[in-house]
Amino acid sequence: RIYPLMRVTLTTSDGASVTVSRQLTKHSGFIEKAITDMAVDDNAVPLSAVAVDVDDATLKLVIEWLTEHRDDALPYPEKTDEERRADDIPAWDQAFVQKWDTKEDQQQTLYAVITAADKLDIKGLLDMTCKTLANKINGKTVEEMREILQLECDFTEEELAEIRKENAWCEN
Amino acid sequence: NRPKLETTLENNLLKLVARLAAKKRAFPDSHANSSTNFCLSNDDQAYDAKPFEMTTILGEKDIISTLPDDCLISVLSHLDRDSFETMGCVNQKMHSIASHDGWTKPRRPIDSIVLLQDQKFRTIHVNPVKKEDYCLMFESNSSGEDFKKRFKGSYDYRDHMFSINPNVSEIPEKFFKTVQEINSKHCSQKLEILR
Repeated sequence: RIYPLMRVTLTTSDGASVTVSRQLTKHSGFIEKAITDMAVDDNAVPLSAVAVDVDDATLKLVIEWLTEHRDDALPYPEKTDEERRADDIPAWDQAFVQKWDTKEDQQQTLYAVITAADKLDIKGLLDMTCKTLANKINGKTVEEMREILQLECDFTEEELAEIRKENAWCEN
Repeated sequence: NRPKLETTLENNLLKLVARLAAKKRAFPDSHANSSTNFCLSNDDQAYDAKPFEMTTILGEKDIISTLPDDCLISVLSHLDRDSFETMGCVNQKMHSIASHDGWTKPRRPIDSIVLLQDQKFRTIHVNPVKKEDYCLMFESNSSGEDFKKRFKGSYDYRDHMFSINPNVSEIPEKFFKTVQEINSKHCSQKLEILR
């Protein structure tokens, strides 16, 4: 049972502190485990402190997302392979990402939020951000993917020719 | 009955890293079941976990490689089939990950696979469901030479025939590997063998 009045203070990797309701942190497997490990008395409505390996700016985004999704059902529903799709991101989430995922940002914030969601074990946020990144790549050419992901081609000419030969025949 | 990605992730990641390290820069000769979405299969074969040995030359601002492996796998698992295959052409690391045998990929539907053999040639034909889509053809001879063709519409494969030694009856290994490759990427409604 979760006591929503319980407050949790999160200490970020850059030394900031943010206090949030337990109603929000219940979506984070990492924070819930940390609180459970502390064996605090929920009935006493204490203030617990948890250190998280996430910077302050990213944590604020995570908390914004958690606030919107505070009433989401738990546990996060598991998706089968057939159910796994990238085009079902809720409208609020799309607008939320668009606020900070700008061209100038070059996905740096998106990567930071994905990593934070992974570290904090927030399945809903991780799923949504991974879908967002997948949607950026879906349908793109190799060159476009390299540009989006800022990756350089490190194949030798021979390897590239081999890949092209195989793909030209059997793929796409 | 395929396992869920999340539940098998830790074990599969260890296997993935070990297998990729073992493969290094070799190109795979087959893929797992092949399209819209992907997951890593729960393969119970034991692999010794080793550090990732492949070196990659990354862009100066490359940050996707800083993502934890399970996040990267989650991103890839949401790609459609064509994008997934394209991703494998981006660089060495992506190629290794996308080529991993553990991915289970929905296969592309095709109408039929036809295996032809007579005294002079051995040919594989892949016929699409829609006539306007590509046909695939592979033929090989016993000297280890092979020929692949991708075309639309009808095609007289005999025009590009190899002359093969009639005294050698052995079917080259590449022929079987190609059948395996086609079957891993395409879901055929019919298989015909013509002699």
